[in-house]
Amino acid sequence: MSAAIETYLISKHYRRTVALDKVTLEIPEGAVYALVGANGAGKTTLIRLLMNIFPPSTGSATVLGLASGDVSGHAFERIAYVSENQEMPDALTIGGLLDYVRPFYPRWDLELEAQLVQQFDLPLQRKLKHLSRGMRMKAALASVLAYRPALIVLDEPFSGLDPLVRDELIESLRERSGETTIFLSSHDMSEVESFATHVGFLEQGRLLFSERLAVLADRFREVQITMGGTVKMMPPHAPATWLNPQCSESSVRFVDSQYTDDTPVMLAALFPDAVKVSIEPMTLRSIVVAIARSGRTPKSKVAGEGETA
Amino acid sequence: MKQALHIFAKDVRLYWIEILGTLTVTALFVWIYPMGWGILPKISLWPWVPGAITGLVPVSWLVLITRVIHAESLVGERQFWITRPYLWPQLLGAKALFVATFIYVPFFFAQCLLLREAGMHPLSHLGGLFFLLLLVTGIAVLPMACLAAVTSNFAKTLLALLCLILFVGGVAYLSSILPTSSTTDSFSDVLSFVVAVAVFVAVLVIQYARRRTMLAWAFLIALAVTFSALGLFGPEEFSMSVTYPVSSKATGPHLTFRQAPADGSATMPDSDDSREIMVFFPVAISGIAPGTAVKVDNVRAGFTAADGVRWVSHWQGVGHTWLPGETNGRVGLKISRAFYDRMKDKPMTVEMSVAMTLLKRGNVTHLMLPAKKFELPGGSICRNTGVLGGDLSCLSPMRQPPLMLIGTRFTTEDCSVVPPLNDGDPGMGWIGALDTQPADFGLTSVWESTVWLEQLSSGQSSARQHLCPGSQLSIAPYTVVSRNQQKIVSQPLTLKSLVPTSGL
Repeated sequence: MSAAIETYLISKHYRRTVALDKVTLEIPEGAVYALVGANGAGKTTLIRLLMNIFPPSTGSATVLGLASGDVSGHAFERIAYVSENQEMPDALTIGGLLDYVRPFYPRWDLELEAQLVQQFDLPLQRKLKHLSRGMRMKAALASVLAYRPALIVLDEPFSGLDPLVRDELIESLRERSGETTIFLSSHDMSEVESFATHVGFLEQGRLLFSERLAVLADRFREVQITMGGTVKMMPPHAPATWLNPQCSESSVRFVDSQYTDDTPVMLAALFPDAVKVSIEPMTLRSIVVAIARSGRTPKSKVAGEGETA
Repeated sequence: MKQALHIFAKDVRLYWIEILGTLTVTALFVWIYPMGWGILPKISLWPWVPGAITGLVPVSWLVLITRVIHAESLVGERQFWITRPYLWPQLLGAKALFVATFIYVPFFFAQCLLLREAGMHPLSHLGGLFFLLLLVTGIAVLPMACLAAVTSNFAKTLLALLCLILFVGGVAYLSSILPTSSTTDSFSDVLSFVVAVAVFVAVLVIQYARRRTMLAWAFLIALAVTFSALGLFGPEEFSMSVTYPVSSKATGPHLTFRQAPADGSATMPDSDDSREIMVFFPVAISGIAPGTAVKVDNVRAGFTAADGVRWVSHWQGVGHTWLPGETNGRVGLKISRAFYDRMKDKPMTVEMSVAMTLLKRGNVTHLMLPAKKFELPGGSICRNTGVLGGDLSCLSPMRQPPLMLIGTRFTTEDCSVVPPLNDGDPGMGWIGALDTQPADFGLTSVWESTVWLEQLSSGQSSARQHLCPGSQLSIAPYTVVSRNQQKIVSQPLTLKSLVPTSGL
């Protein structure tokens, strides 16, 4: 399957500040890719580079087969971009906005537009400047979904929204998954975990991992071992893929970042005095927290590498 | 084009209030501006109103241009339109169409109405009207559009404008403290206009095609700094030598220094800078053929003392015109007061460069001064004001009228006797300019000028005589034959001898 988005060692510097540091990434067509990371991690910078809002300092990227520098004009007939802090034409009503943008898109679907207006319960006569944050986001989303873009790019779309609106938006995106590629950024892991197929984690401009969410969830486990006696330190031959080891009086806890079916055997060999072994799957949030705390970069995988979305 | 029209229609819907404001100001301008024409304007209660309304016209343009450009702001990274399928030539075209529709078209019709109000036929001046639109584009609309294109909102545009005004003020202050240079030449004017328009267009294209705001700002700042630097310290010699090539011909009008002391009774002109002093060179002029005249436009002088001390002035505008038969005159020049104080008693030689225009008289027209309006060659419409201080008040289409010499004979008594006695002194006055461009830059296509006819007194009486209806006027148009530069060198003289004694 071809890639909807590819970046190669792409970086962005603002004088001495490195906003994005040599990010290499591949997002397959049809994926729902969640780019997560703390505020200021470089998510918005990466998205704006891809949307050609500004050029990269070094590196390159392609979006739907176009070099990022060529993403303009007609290219946006197939690409949708919605951002939490986008400046909308506030003097227009929602109806005016839809009327205005409609002629820009040859593939605009009037039926879908009507369906979205109804689904989002959009007040067509109300001006954008008088809308709540959630309603603005729904109006913006309706104005891009109606032309059935091949790629939807969302920058923090759910930030500051109440749960009801957030679920509405997620539902509408979920309905489009498969027919379109969705690339969204968020600093809240829990909100994207439910529908993302791929996930990438940015920290201080560096991409710490990028892979299918299912694979990520499969290989991370939280391990707790209760010992018969006192434990002072981890076994000397413990693998480097065991993150954040903590030894208390009679127990050992760590995160295994390369969990396989052989892991229980290895645990038994390294902890012969174990009286109880607990191996639990982890949420995306706890995986990210574990990686962030470890300060290590687990073997980073490129989404789509040797797998299908 | 379809996209441009779509954006244009949206802008019209969004900015109808601003459009209405601009149209209202333009309508007021057309209505009120003509009331200020003439020596005795029709508005006497609030004489500042025509000026204020005229000032509002560019303000309304600035508001309209800024608002419409900021509808798709070119500065920033958050605008919704930059990730929509906008094509930049279409967007730029939409804005150009908006400006054309709501600034150029109303302005054009306003000028037509003003011409009609002045008694002229607008269709006779279509070329001038379009040339005026070109000037307005280069001098007002494009700079306003550039300011809007490099700022993100109206407040920032105003801030940028304020900075520009402060910058211009600073340059003007610097200009006032540096030695005077006050020349104008058509070569520099045309070159400056072309370069400025090219930079403004480049800035707009850079912004619309690439949104490279820093680069666009760099272009604008470089333009302002370059023009200021050239204005203050520029190689004026080059542009002067292009407009006024150095003459090597022995024939034609020729200036020489006269070895005559300055007229002690002359009054000292007010000096606008205490660091300068005006000196007057007595000159003799010869070789002015009948039917021609010589206009001295600019002069510069180099002073060399016997001990080798040297001081050279900048080019300075003069504006004397000599007719055949006139042989003596004076050329005034501002020089450094410090240099004067130091060297005033020392003998020195002066090498003066004189940039002058040779004029040729055309066919002289004679007419009887009517009680009401009359037309001058070139289309200007004049009337006898009957007011001391301005004998004739003229309205001219598109620009100052062509250069003309108007002659008459005054009447000693008042104008109650018909026909007038015409028993007074002869009178003479210049009107117009030598520019040949189809229009002068301004917000109006109708230019006012007043002719003061100098009373060539016989010496018996200096009382002002009267210009009465029924008097004969002779109108002689003058056109440019050539422009050249002559160098004249004086015998040793002292600076002190060049300053009117009553002035110090």
